[in-house]
Parts: sequence; C-alpha cells; structure tokens
Amino acid sequence: MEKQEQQWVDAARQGDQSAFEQLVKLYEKRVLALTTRMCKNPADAEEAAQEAFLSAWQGLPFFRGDASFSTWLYRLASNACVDLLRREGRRQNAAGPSLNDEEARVEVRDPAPSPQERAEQAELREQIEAGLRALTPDHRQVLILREMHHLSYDEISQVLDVDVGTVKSRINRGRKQLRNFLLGSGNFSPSPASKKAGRKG
Amino acid sequence: MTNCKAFAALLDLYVDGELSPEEMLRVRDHLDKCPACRAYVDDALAIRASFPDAEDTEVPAGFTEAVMTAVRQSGTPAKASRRTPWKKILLPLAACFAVAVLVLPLRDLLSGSAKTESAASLTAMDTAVAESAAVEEPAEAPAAEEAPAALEQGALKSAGTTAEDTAPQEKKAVDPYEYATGTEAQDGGSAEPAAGQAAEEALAPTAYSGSPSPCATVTLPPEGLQLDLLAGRTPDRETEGQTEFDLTAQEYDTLLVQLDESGLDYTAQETADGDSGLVLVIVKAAN
Repeated sequence: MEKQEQQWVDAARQGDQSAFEQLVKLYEKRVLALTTRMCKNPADAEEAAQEAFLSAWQGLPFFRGDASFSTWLYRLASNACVDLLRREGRRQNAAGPSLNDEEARVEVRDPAPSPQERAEQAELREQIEAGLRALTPDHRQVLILREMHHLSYDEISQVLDVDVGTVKSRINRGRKQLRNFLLGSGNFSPSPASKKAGRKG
Repeated sequence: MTNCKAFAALLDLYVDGELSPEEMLRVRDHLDKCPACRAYVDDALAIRASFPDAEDTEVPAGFTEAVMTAVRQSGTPAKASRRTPWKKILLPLAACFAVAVLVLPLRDLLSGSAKTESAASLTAMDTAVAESAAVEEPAEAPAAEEAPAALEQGALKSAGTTAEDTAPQEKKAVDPYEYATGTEAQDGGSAEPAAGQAAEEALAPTAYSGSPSPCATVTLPPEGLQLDLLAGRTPDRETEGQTEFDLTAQEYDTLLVQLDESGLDYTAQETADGDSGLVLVIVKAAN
C-alpha cells in the first residue's frame, strides 16, 4: 500500500488529478477524524478537511518528501482547523465546553458487533470522546494524533511544528486529564488494585 | 514506589514506545513494584484500546467530489483555500473582478527608459497566466499556483512595490510547510490570485490576450500615465493611439481611488457579462 501511495503522490505531484483523488479517498476518513474533533462543528470540520486536501494539491509540487505524505497532510489539516478556530474566535480555553455537551457529539459507529463487550467498549469510547472534548485543543490534538493516527512523538512534532519536548508534555497532560475524566465518570476505578484486566487492549 | 516521581515522567514514553530498550526494561521493573504507576499504564492502554478509530469516521456524502471539484477549480491557491467554501467561490468571483483599459500615449511609452526591461517581465507574466489557463492539462494544474503569484508580483512591482516586498510572500505561498503563515499572508492580500483563476476559467485553453470580454473598461487621458498605479508599469498591449493594461479587481479599486484623487477625467464602464475576470484599462494617446 505504501508503494501504491507513493505512486499516487508522485503522479499527483505531476498534476494527475485522478491520482490525487485516490489519495483523497485514502485519507479522507483520517483527515475528517482529526478535523471533526478539532472543529466540533461538522460544517467547519468538513470545510477544514477540504482546505487541507486543497492545500495538499496546491502544495504537492513543493512537497519534498522529508516527512511522509500523511504527516504532511495532517499538518495541513491541523493548520486548517487552527485557522478556522482563530478566524472565528472559537478556540476553546481550558474550561472548554460542558463535559456533558451533547451538541458536540461526534458520530462514531461501533464496528465490533459483540454483545456485552461491545456495549462496554462503546460506552468507554463515548466517554473518551466526551473527555477529549473537555480537553484544550492542544491536548486533544496530540492525543488524537497519537492514539488515532498512531504517529510517533517525532511525527507529531512535525505535524504541529513544535519540539518533541512539547509533544511529550502535551501528551502527558492530555492523557492525565483524560484519565481523570474517565475516573470521574466512573469508567476507570480509582483503586489500582481493582483494575479490570478486560479493559486492556 | 519510592521512585515514582522519577518514573512518572517516563510512563507516557513507555506506553508510546518512545524509550530505549534499556529504559523500557527499567520502567517495566518499576511497574512490577508500583501499583499506582501500573494503574496509570493500564488506564493509558485501556484508553488506547477503546480510542475512537479514524476509519469509523463518517465521510459526508459528496465529500470526495467536493474536494475534487475544488481541486479542478484551484489554479489559484490563495482564493481556493480561503475560508470561503468551495461552493461559494465562483459567484463572488464574477462580481469582484473587472478589467480596466488605459490608453497611454505612445510617445510616452517609447520614451520610458525601463521599457525593454519591463516588457521582458511582462512576457514572463503572460507566460505564467497562459500556464494557469491550461487548466485542462493535468500536468499544468499544480504549477499554475505560481501564475497568480507572478501576476500579483508583476502588478505590485509595477505599482511601485519593491521586489523585496513581494519575494517573501511568494516564498510563503509555495512552501507547504508554511501553510498557516502563508495563508495569513494571503489573507492580507488580495484578489489578484482570484483574478488569475477567473482568467484561467474564462480563457482556457488560450493565453489571455485581452480579447475576452473584460468585466469593466476604463478609458483615461494621457495624464493617466502619471497615476501611481500605472507610472512605470509595462503595458499589456500597445496599438496605435492607445495602450492597454490588464488590471485585477483590486488594482481596479486602487486605480479608481487614484483617479478620484487626481481629478482626471475618465470613463469607467462595467460590463455585466464580462467573463475575463480582469479590468481593461485604456489610456488614449493625446490628440
């Protein structure tokens, strides 16, 4: 797949629109996954994702390949979100929205059709989504890039244009806050001794 | 347990596989002895196990098509990537741009010392616009990004802006890693790139030569050459008795301001069905 992706990138860099369309299809979910959680408003998220792809298309001739295409694309998506947030003055402060903010609900389909386990995981996932929304955008973003896009610290630093130390710090704080949120909502037990092995992935 | 603080800083790195093998072992040893740190790691892994999956993200209907439509229309990066959704690009464009024509006295042009040099840069500019006009040729499309930049740069330079002013902006515009900064620069910028886009759509596949309908035509007396916007600017076309300039919408606005300030007698006729996205300026020769 990586080879195929590289071929699409090379072709798109030469102006091949159909190759670029393949890249759009390959990455649209991942880009939307990021913008949806950064922008909150679905319309803005869609617009930011479109801008990211459009910027990618326009910037491809100058894409040097120092970073992977995906890292570069996530960076464009991140920038598009920040740009939108900044322009519309919607950037959240640390307080953020209500933890029970249902308006900010993100639609996530449950892929695993298994009974109780599925229900538990779906519940935890919902709480994670809620916890993410309670984080600052900076902390939310690093966790999304780390846990959802599986980027390394170095790649995240490239995406966000911050040093790796900042990435470490944000991941640490973001994860702690998210964990505290889950502890507070009863999804995690505060007692280390009562850990449920079944929660482990 | 006693070393918890020292290890606490390593737990995220451990979870994320960012430690060396030796450090991983050290942390693992500590986890065996420390329930609190182990709980943190367990929870971090539980979060990971249930973290939303990007592949579960629902793609809005028509998203891919919308992106590709924007891509096909995007010879001009600045405009296409702006806050304005792709759906709304074309309409404002049609309303925003006009073409002004200045007719300049031939003798004034011939006496201009910078004529040869300016003409050379004009040729380059036309070439760039021609490239952007070739929108149907895929190989040309990304390269067209530079076309509006060239157009803008040429216009600004002619208007008295220094090359130093324009060069950094162009650099930002073409460096994908400077996307955010670049767009900010473009924010303050103007409509020129969009003018290039309009020209591209209206004129493909032939290069712009002034033949398509301008959105507006401005006719000026010879004194128009003294206006800041036109002084030293290379004309786009020269015919006997008149000289023509193609202006972008923003330049057109600037020109109108300068004309009002100068008190010159001029005519400006806006064309409802103009399709070039540019303003034609004609400077008539003196009688």
